Amino acid sequence: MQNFNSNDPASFREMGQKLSGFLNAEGRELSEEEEKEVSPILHSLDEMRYHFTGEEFLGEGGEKILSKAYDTQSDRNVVIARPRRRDTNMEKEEFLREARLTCKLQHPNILPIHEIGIDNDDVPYFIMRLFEGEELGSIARKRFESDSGYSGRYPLEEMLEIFLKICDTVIYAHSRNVLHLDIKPANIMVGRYGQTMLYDWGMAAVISDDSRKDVTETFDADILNTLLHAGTLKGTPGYMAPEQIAEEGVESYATDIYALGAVLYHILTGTIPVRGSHAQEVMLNTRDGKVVRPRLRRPQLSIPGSLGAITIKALQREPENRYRTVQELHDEVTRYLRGFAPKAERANPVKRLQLLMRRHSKVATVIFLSVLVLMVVTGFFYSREKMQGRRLEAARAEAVLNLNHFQEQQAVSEKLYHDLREFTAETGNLGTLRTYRLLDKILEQELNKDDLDREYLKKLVRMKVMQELAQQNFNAVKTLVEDYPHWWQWLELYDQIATRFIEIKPDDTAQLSDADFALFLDHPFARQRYKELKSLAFDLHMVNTEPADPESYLKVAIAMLNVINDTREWGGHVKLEPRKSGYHLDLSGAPYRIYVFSHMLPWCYDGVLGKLDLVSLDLSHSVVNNIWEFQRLEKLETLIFLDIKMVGGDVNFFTMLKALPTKRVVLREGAHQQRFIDELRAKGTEVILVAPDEMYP
Amino acid sequence: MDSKTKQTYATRMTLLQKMQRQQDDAAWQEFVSIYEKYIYGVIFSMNISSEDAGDVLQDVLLKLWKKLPEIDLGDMRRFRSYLAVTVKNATYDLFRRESRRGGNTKVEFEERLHAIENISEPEVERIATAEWENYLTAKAMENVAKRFSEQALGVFNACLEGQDIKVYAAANEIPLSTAYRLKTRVKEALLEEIKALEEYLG
Repeated sequence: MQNFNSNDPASFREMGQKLSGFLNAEGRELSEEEEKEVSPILHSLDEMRYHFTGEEFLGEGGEKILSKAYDTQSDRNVVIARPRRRDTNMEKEEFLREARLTCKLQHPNILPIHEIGIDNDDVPYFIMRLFEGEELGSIARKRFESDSGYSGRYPLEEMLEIFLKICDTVIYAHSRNVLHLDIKPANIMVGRYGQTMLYDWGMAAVISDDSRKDVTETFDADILNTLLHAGTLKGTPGYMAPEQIAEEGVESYATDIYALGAVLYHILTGTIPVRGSHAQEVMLNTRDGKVVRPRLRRPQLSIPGSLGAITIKALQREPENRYRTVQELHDEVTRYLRGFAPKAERANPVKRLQLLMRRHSKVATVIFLSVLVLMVVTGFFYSREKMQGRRLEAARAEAVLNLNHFQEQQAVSEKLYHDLREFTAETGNLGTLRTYRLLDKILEQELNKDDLDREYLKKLVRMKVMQELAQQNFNAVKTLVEDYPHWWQWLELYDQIATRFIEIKPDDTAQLSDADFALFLDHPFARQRYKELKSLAFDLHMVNTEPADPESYLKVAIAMLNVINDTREWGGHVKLEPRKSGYHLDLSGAPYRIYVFSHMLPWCYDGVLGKLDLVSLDLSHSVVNNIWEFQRLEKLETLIFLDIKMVGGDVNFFTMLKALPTKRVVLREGAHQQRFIDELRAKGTEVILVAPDEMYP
Repeated sequence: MDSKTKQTYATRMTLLQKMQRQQDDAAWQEFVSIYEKYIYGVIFSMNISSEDAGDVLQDVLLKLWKKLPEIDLGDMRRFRSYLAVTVKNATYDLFRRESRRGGNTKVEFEERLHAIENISEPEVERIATAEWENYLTAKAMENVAKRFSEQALGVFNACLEGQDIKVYAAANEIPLSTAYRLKTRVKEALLEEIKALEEYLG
C-alpha cells in the first residue's frame, strides 16, 4: 500500500512529479461531476419548497443557528436549524451530514428531524420537532442551590433515571456504529415530564465504511463522516476523553463512555471531573488522567461511594480500563438503583449485607431476628433445627434469584458485540495491545454464529488465526485449521507454522523462550500484514514474559530488527560483550535503518534495544538514518560511528547526536566538519577522533 | 492543514529573519527541514547521482549559511531561484574538484562541466519553478494522506498509477460509486492542501 510518505529525497521527488503530472492531466479544479461526488446530499436536494413563516431566533451553537418557525403545511410550530458557516458547498454539505445522520437515528430520546431542504437563498436547513425543556447542566447546577426547589423536584434517583435514558440512547447509537463524541450536560434536554433528549450530533462519526445488510437503515461512513475538522480539536473540555486531546488518540466507543462518566460526575457534583481554571488547564489535566474523586470534590454532599466508583471506572485514562460497553455502565447504575453493589465498587461482604438488608428491610429483619432467636433457642430445643434448615433454604433461593438476574444483565451486555461485526471484519487489522482483547472477544462471538456468508467467514477466520498466532496459541491455530479442513489454501501455511511451533511449545498457556520466539520472528513470511502480526506478537511477548537477561533477549532483538528492516537472517554472529555496568553491542555493518516499528507502543518498553542494558553501541560501517530512538537508552555511554554513511549529512547527524544523553562519541578523523564536532564538545560530550585505518578501542 | 503545521509555516518569515540576524541554530534546523527536499529536487534535476547529492546539499547549505545575511527574503520566488543558482554553482564546483582529481574519466567530467555551464538563466528559473511545484505537491500529499483511510488512498493511488478505477474497484470489492467518491475526496483535499501550502510558503 502506498502511504505517500517518503524520507528518501529521490522517491519524494518522484512522487511529486507523478502527482503534478496527474493533477495537470486531470485538471486542477473539480469538475461538476466531481463536485457532486463530494457533496452528494446537497446535490440531492432538488426543489425549493420552503414553507415556513414567522421565524423567531432561539439560539446559536458552534455550528448551527436555531429558530422557531411556523410550518404552514402541517400547521404546527417547529425548530429550524441552519448552518453558521455556509459560504462553500463543502460547509453546507458538512451541515447536511449531521442532518442526514440524525434522520437515520430513530430513537425516542433523539429529536426527530422532519425534513431537510434548501431555502430560497440557497441555504440548507433542517426541521426538528419543537421540544421545550431545560438543559441537564442547568438542572444539575440548580439542584445544589438550596432555595431553587430543584433538589425536591429532581431527587438523585430521578437524575439517575435521566442518565439511564441517555445511556440507552448511546447504546442504540453504538449499535448503529455511530459515535456521538460530544456528549455533555448542555446537549441533554429534559422536558417537564421527564422526557429526555440527547441532541447535537454534529460531531458524530460512523465507524466502518461497510453498509449493514441486516439493518434497514444504512449508515454510510463515506457520506456521513466529517472531513472539515480533520486535525483540529473537537469537543468540550471537561467532557472530552483523553484520547480526543492526545495527538495520536483514536476515538472509539470508549470515548462516549468517558463522556457519559463525566455527565454522571456532573450530576453528582455539579461540576467537571478534573480541576482547572481555564480550558487549557482542564485539557492538560484530562490528558494526564487527573480525575478528582467525587467525594473529595464535594465533601459536604455525602455522595454515595458506589456511584463515585462508577464514575471513576468510566473516567479511566486508558480506554481499555473503562467499562467495555455503555450497557455495562448502564447496568451498574441500575444495580445501584435497585440496591445492589456495583462491581466497580468491589464491595466487601459487610457492605453487600447492608445493601441486602436495605433492599429487603422487612425480610432481613425477620431473618436476622430468627437467627438470633434460633441461636438462643436451639440450645434448648433440638427440634427447632428443622426450622433453621428451612430458613437457609429460603436464603439460598434468594441467592439463586440474584444470580439469575445477574446472568440476564450479562446477556444484555453481550448484545453490543453483535453489532460490531462490520467494524471487526472491515478494518481487518489485528489491533494493538490496547484493542486486541476486544477484537478477540468479538471474533469468538462471531465465529460461533451459524449461516455466516463465506466471504465474511474467511475474513473472520483469517483474523482469528493471526490473533492466535500472535498470542502463541499454536494448538488453537491447529483446532481452527481442523474446523475448516481444506477450505482455503492459506490455512495450510498457518498450519505449517503451528505444527512447527507446537513441537517446541505444546502448551498454549506457556510462552516461547526468547530463543524460540526469535525463531518465530525469523519464520519467513514477508507481507506487510505479517509484519503487523509479528509486531503484535512482539508487543505481547514483551508484556507477557518476565524481563529476560539481555544475552538471551539479544536473539529476539536481532530477529525483530530483521522484521522491521526486511533483512532476514542477518546478525547470527552478533554478540553482547559484558562491560563494567552493562553491555557493549557491536552492530557494525548492520543493514538496519530503523530501530522502532511504527506500531510499537512506546509505553511498554524502550524500543527493540531497550532491554539489552547497553552502555556501549558500535554502528560503524552502517547507514545512519535515524538515531532519535536511542534517546530512550539512558545508560548508553559510548556510541561508535566509524566510516558511517549519513543520510542527510552532518547537519542531521549532529542534530540527532546532540539530543542523545550519550557521554562519549567515537568518530573517524576528517569525516565530519570541525564546527559540528566543536559544538558537540561544547555541549559537554567527549568526542574521540580515530585516525584513518585505526580501530576503536 | 492541521494547526501544528500551520504554526510551523506561519513563523516562516520570522524564522528566516531570525536566521539572518543571529544565525540561530534552531531556526537553521527548521529551515533545513522545510527546504531540504526542494533543494534535493533541484540537485536531481541537474542529473546528479544519489551518492553525490548529499555532498552538493551540504555545499549548498554551507554557502547559504554564509550568504544569508545578504539575501533579500521579501520575494520568496527570487529566493528559490537563488537557491537553484546556488545548486548549479555547487554542482559545478563538485565536478571541477572531481575532474582535477580524476584520471581516466577526465573527459567525461569535462563534458558534464560544460553541460552545467550551459544551463541558461531561464532554464534555472524553469527548474526552480518545476521543482517547487513537485515539492509542494509531494508535501501536500504527505499531509493529506494522514487524514484518509487506507482504502481511500488505495483508490487514489490506483488512479495515479493509471489503473482503471472500475477494474480496481471490482478487484477490491469497493462499490464503484464509493471508489469515485473516495478518489475525488482525496483529490479535492490534495488541491486544497497545495493551495494552503502555497499561501503559507509564498
